[in-house]
Amino acid sequence: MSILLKTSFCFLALLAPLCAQRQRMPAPAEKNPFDTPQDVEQGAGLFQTHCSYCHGSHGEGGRGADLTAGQYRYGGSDAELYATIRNGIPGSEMPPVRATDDEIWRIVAFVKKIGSSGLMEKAPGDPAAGKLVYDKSGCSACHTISKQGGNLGPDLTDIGRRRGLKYLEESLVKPEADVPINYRAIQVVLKSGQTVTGIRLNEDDISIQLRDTSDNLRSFLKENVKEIRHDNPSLMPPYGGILGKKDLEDLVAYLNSLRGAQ
Amino acid sequence: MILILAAAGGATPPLSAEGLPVTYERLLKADQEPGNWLMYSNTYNSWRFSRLDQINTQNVNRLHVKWLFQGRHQEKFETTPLVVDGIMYLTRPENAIYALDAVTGRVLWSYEYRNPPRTYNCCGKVNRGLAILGNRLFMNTLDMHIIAIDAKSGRELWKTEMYDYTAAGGYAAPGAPLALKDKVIVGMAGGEHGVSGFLDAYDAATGKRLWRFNTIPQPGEPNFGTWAGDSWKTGGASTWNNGSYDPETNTLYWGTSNPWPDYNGDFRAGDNLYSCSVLALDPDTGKLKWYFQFTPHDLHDWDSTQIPILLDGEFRGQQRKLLAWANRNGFFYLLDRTDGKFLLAKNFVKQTWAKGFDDNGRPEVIPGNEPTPEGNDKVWPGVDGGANWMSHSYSPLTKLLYVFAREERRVFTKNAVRHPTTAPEGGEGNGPAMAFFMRRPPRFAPEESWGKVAAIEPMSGVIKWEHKVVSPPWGGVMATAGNLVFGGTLEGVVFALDARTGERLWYFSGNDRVYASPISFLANGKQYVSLPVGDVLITFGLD
Amino acid sequence: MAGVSRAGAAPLISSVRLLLRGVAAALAGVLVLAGQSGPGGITGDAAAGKAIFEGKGGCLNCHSIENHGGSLGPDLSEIGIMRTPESLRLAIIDPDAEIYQEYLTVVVTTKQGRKIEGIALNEDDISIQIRDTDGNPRSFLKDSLQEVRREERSLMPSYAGKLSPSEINDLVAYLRTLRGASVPANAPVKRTRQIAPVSENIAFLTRPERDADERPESLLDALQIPSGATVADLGAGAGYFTWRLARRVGPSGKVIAVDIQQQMLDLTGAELKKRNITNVDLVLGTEQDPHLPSGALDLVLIANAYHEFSQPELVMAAVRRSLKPNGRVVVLEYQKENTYAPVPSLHKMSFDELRSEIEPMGFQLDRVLDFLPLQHGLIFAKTP
Repeated sequence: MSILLKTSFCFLALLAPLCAQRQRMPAPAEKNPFDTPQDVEQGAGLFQTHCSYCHGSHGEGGRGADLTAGQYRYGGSDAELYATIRNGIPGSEMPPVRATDDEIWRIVAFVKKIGSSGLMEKAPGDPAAGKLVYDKSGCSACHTISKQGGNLGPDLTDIGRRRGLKYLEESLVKPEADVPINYRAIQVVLKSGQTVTGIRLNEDDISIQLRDTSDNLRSFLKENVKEIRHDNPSLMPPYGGILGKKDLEDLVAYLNSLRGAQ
Repeated sequence: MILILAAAGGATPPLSAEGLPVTYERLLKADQEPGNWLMYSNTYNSWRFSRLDQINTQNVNRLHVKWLFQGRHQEKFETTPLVVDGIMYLTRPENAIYALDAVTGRVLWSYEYRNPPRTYNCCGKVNRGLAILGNRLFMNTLDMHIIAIDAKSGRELWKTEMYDYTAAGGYAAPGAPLALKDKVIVGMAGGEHGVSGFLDAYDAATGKRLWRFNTIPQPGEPNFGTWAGDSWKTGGASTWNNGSYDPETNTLYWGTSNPWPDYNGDFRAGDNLYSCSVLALDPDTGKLKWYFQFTPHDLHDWDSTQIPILLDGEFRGQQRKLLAWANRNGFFYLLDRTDGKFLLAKNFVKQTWAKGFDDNGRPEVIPGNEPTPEGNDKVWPGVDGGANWMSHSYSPLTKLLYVFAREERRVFTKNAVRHPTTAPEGGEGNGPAMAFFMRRPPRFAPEESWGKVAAIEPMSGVIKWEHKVVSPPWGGVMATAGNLVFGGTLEGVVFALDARTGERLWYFSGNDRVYASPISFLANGKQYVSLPVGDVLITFGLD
Repeated sequence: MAGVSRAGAAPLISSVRLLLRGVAAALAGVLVLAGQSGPGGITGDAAAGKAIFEGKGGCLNCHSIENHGGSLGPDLSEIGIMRTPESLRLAIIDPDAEIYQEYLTVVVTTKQGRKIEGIALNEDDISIQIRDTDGNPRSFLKDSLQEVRREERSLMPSYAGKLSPSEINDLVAYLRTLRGASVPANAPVKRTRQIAPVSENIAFLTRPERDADERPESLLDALQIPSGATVADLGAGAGYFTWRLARRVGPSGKVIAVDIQQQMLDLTGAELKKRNITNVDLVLGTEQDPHLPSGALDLVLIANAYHEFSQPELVMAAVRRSLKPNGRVVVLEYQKENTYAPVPSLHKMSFDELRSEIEPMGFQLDRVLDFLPLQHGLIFAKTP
């Protein structure tokens, strides 16, 4: 007897690789189909609603990047801006924006408009002197520039094109005012009495992970933890009390000059 | 140096306080750190043997799931993680790296490399794992880069292009690298596409390439001339799996893939060196010490990219340094690893193509087993061989080599440059094993294909026991000092066998395909076993 | 715990040959052109067959049509175009002769000795899932079974004793009407595909892998072209099928090889000369007219060419005129649905496209050749 092997009529290309690890949605088009002046105006309103909290009312930056410089770390084409707004930036505080496709395009149109007006502020201080301040203040113990430095604070390689002067100054003077979520400092007090301080990496109901102040990765089961303290959210000391006015100005100028690889 | 971690309640030291750096000295003595898994096959001799015995034949029936890593991808999960003092480092398709707390599976940091949308992979956008040396993790990518990542922070340190991934038929690097001394050894893939194979060594600190060995001799090199005409230029012979290292003789061992084009040797008459071979190289210079070719002028895509197993033992009354190899062509080989001398070959699966070997190990081919235009369905083993890339494991306690073998017969069609003989994999995890769609020529019904864990006595090639499973596997095995052999089947059954008898003592129904080999490690002083099942890495432990 | 054994299956190619040999043997003395299946070839009464199917045959207990019925046997919604009448007859009188792999009978025996029979749904080393003869899904841990055995038999009983020969004819006639959705004659042709430019890619037509991709000998076996027939190879290209057809029809038959490119005809001619073949006429056709003789052809083969007809209606009308009343036209096209088909999308067609374009031109889809690895193989008969 013979055994038949059945053909399915519906030839599914089942071996076509199903791409994309996560459901990261690409832009529906390469070019923004909503770029009339009316779209830009609508985009401005949407921007206020969705974006200004972090990026400032005029896109000047704050917790979020400065969008007026016209330089975008994740790409400045229409499709790239669309994808960044639609999907957010994993590993950062930028969330996916909940809006319709048309609304996202209109936000892109507005972002493009304010980006093209890119006023790059001129910092009053001296960047070269600021670099010396950076080096003598031990910043690289926690921060990294061009792969050199520590892991306890944000990477500063291109901070100059992502944050405006005002924000940079505030970060130095009053760092605890706005600590990025990935760098929030915690103190884990163990039942054994030991205390471990560091930045929180991950947490669930069972355990908590941090990078301690010696740059070691730590993990603790919560059943061994007495309490977790969040009173001092920033590991960074306030440099307003440590550095003089000129030093601060120069340091801000130095940071402003850090634009990463062009 | 083993870190004895205090039980829960005491202060737990940092996960990586003494974990890093992983020096070369530690890698040489990796078997003295049984709580860690410091390289792809655990130790340089590639035994993939765990010296932990907290989990053993008496208590393995209590093994249960402790935590999962959810990969959330659609690709085959082929990775082997590394574990260094409580931190697990693994890769996930396509080229992402995660550092996890090995006790809970929680993420410490992650890194993602973005490949171009179109890469050239015959067999999936997969990655088989990392190497670690010092504070650096090393990963090779689908677009032919080798990357170094800082193990503490997950930041990229350097990146070197190995080759233009779009050249010829397309190159990719899906395997795991091997770190030794101050270098990283990296292989490549593309043997289905007409590439020219090579094996590279890169400086671990800077990423500079130190040497390249061409697996097809170029004009002027020794052994040039075993390929008719110009066929050597696109002969394949890639190096897509991991290799082994013998520090005593300072020899690196690596296997090579099929010659190209597969199935049709008309335009590449000759033995086609060094395809389907094992290469013994000087790791400092990349120079060839010796080679042994398992399948001259291969017509069946029987890549010899298995991982070489190095062991010492008494063979016919003489103490020798040996190399044990269960080859894709269906034969188990024993070679002398100092000079490549052929000692014995014995089939470990059903085979129809060779009636014996001459004194040099050259097979005496039986006519009638070649691919034909309309398809030759009489050949055993099938195109995926009796063994493939999945790991084998050697136990110094039982002195047995465990091979998760494939028994099957498939159609070999000549002139099929693409892979029409590779039929859809049956039993895709939870799907019905029997029903499949005819997209390509059919494979055979289940009676003509099955899998087995075979326990081979290396000195004789005799199989001491077999544990039969429903489908030919795509996962490997790991033997442990608890006298267990762990592995996972195509349908997702994760099992533990008694290493002495093959009896199954424990199983877990994972219900999705297993395309990787297990590891074992200590976390917080407890032994765990981890294995990717489907797109999830499952970690098992006792209480 | 007994080892698992699963029944064997012959490779598909030889199983088709086996099928055909079996058919020929079973119907010794009956000269039937396989696929010559127009209404003239069937003697039964389809309406009576439907009554048997739904009534005393009890077929819907196991089979389904359009998702109504049982699930112990294959769905029959399109069985009329998937199987020849001979194959259908064989399935009714001797169901064990050919079985779809997933419908092999599985018998599990519990440790208590109880036997449960059914078809297998899923299996691994730990458990097996079956659908029993009542249609219920069941699952068994292998540890609780003495034995799992696959038997090379079907759950379907033979109807040879239960139905009279004329009832079986009626049933076959009814099954032949189950063709899925056919497109009515003279329905407007809705062509959504773009017509491909004429290919000049000789290297592709003569590539070494073509035998493996297209399995020409198995294809021609399935068409059962008798010697002495008159056939046309429409769009002969480099003669790949031409010389094969010439061999099949033999010295008393004839092949007309048509192409609109002279250089292709020249290549075909060279191929024929190389093989000492003399029973082929080479004809230079045009985009509107293939110059086929009227009412003379038993079979027209259009291999990978239909998608390039710039005037498909005109050409197919000419084909229709050229066929004898029981003549067939066989259309081969690379599957658009299949990413492995080695041609660009423009040169592939989907099943729906083929059926919806060709049936309204006065044809009826008679059979689908389901063993081709990368192509659709559709056999059409003329509507009367």
